[in-house]
Amino acid sequence: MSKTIRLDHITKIEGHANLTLSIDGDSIRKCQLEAVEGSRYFEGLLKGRKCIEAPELTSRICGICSVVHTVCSIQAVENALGMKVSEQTKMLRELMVLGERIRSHAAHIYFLALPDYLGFESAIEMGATHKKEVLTALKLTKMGNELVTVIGGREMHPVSTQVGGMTKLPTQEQIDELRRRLQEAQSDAIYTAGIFSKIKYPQMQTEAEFFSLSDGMNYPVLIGDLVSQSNRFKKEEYQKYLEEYHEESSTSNFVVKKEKRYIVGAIARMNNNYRLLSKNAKKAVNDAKVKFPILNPFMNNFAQAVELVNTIDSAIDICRRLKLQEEPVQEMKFKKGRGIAAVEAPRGTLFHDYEVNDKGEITKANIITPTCQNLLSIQEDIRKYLPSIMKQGEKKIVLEIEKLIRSYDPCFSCSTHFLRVNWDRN
Amino acid sequence: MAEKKKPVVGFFDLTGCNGCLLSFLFNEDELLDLAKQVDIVNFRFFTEKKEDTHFDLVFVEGLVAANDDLERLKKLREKTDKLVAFGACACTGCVPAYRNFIDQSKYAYLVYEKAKEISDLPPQPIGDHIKVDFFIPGCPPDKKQIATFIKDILLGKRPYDYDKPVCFECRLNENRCLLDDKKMCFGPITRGGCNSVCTNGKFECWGCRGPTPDADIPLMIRLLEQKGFTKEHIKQRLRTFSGMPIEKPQNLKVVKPQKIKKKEKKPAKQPKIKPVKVSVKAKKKAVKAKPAKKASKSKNTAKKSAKKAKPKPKKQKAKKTAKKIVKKSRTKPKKTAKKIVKKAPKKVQKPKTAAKKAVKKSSSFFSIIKKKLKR
Repeated sequence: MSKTIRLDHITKIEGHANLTLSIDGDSIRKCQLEAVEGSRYFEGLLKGRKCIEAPELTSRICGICSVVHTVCSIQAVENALGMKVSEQTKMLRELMVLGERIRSHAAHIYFLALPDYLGFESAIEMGATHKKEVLTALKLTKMGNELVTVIGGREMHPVSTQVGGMTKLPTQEQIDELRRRLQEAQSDAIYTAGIFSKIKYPQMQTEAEFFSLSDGMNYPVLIGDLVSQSNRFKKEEYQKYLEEYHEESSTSNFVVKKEKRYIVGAIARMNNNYRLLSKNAKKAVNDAKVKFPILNPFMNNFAQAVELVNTIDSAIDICRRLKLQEEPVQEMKFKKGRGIAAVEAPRGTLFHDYEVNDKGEITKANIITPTCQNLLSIQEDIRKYLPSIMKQGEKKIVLEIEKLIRSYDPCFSCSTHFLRVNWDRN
Repeated sequence: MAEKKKPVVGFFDLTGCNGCLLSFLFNEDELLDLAKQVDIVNFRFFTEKKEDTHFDLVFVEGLVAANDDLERLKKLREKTDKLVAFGACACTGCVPAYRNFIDQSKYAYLVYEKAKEISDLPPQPIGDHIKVDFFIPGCPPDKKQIATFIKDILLGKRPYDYDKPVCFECRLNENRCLLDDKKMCFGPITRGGCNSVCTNGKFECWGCRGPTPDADIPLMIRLLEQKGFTKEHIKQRLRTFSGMPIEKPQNLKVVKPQKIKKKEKKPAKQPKIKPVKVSVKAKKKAVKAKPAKKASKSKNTAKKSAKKAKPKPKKQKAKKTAKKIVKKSRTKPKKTAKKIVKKAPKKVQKPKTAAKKAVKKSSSFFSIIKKKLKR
């Protein structure tokens, strides 16, 4: 008995993706995940543009993680021009990225993932009986939004952070107010971690490696080397270790590490940095009796919930340390160079890599988004998970697979802005 | 009973960044109340897709860049009473459509050799393919603006079409003029309604919301040239959001909004909302025909060379014409500017005779501008 399951335009994820499954009796003939979002060729658009314009353009890659694209792009340009920005600017940028992490995680785990586990079709339906959950989610997204708005100027595509510094600083009162609000929001985050520790996740173990940034001092956001359980390399060497390839039917690239798949995202960050979690976050982990490393990809949702607690703690810490001073935006001198930046986006490590000529124009750009790196793992984990649910009805199989895909929090808008870079040829 | 009166609303996205949908979601405080007033049948972040029902109001985010997008869009139009182009991508093409202006060689290396298997279309705003009832511009649209729009529609009011420049709001917000700081700010020619959010953060306006009805873009270019920017750089910037025609825009066609039917018992409404049946091919032909006929008559017509026609030669042509116009406006800028404004409505009519089909189809303001843009 063979059957084919097609999931077109999978919902409750960002962007568009299809999955084709072909099952023959007990064996899986085909399991293919395709990004079907139209190509946007962002790397091509960047060519010939002034490098200082890159952040504004690349933030349009994704609305959900526009802040992190902006910041990563700025850092890459600054690296290319050899600029160093002040501690204050770094802290403000970090705060903004943390804000985005809060809103992204809160929206994802509550609106996209939780309905699956509670047996609702959508968050709207869930709202009827689980009002507290929906309200908590809205409160947390609002908190994250406020962080981004106060520092970046608006909720999406932040305006006041530029290459060389901040064009406009928030006031000290605003930062203090944020700190107060964050302290209030902490209880919501802890409540969230509680909800997600009680969920019964399907059992499964992935074989992938977990990659994230890590600097050994703080929970990773903007800086650090790339680490996994068994590897460590500098971000500048990423091309030596990571390789992009393309599947015919997909508009997105797949990224692998030396032909081996790996996972980025909350689960990877936590596996590599669990010693650096804040007190509250550690308590949440202990309460849930979870042991590291977490190998179950479904548990990524739990990792995100714990990260919410941790992120709010980090943000409070930054607000406490911030003593704002007026600073001019640095003058820039264009010179030939290459800049690589790696930043932890909500969904995993994001790379921006620009080559700039002496007029300050970008001659070559390469961007690797988290979902590209996760694509193969998602596909292979579906393949691995399928046999255990094969005997169930088709509807149930589809739901379980969607659950797995969503637990990765993929963002197909991000992953499909390019098709292929011929590294092997050039 | 009350439930039946709720208008059926759908949020859809084509190729894009999902940012506009998110911008709607960021109305945290109003969201639950809004959700009570309408029946949200489709929202990717929330609910499973149900594309088969009839919609009273549909928001479409993103632009057409894959074949799949086009099919979905056309089907959607058939089932929808009022369709809203939601955000800059849907209205003008935004950053992804900037690709239309750049040399293919710049991104050719990104195209996989088996690209034929991938259904790739030139990126176009949705107004180029279907009839659009309302436009909500902005990258991203202001969240309050979205909430107000929905409220207006629910009240049966005509949504307010903001047509003052960004400078207007920027002044109200008591910002220092960024042009004085020698920044390339397009505030004077860009439609406001965004509460000048960028310039509040001391970041120059890039014109994401498209031009005001009376924007004098050649003058703006000249002004910025005096500030020391190169023309190439200015044009590059103007094209980023694909909504800024470098010459005079047409007067905005304000689409007459209609009240949402409170009774939903009229499925027979379909003929009105017929999707445009002209195929892309037909449009191409029509477009090709136009400039050839008109070129000799007036200099303005060359601009109409639509984007779909062979890109390279036309770009050059158009550039030349643009230069001519700029030169003219240098000698007597005010008069020429006014003339062009007066001529504007005529321009719309002319192509009708040349290619009726194409013009019927491109009913939206943006699509008319789009044609001029391709230079």
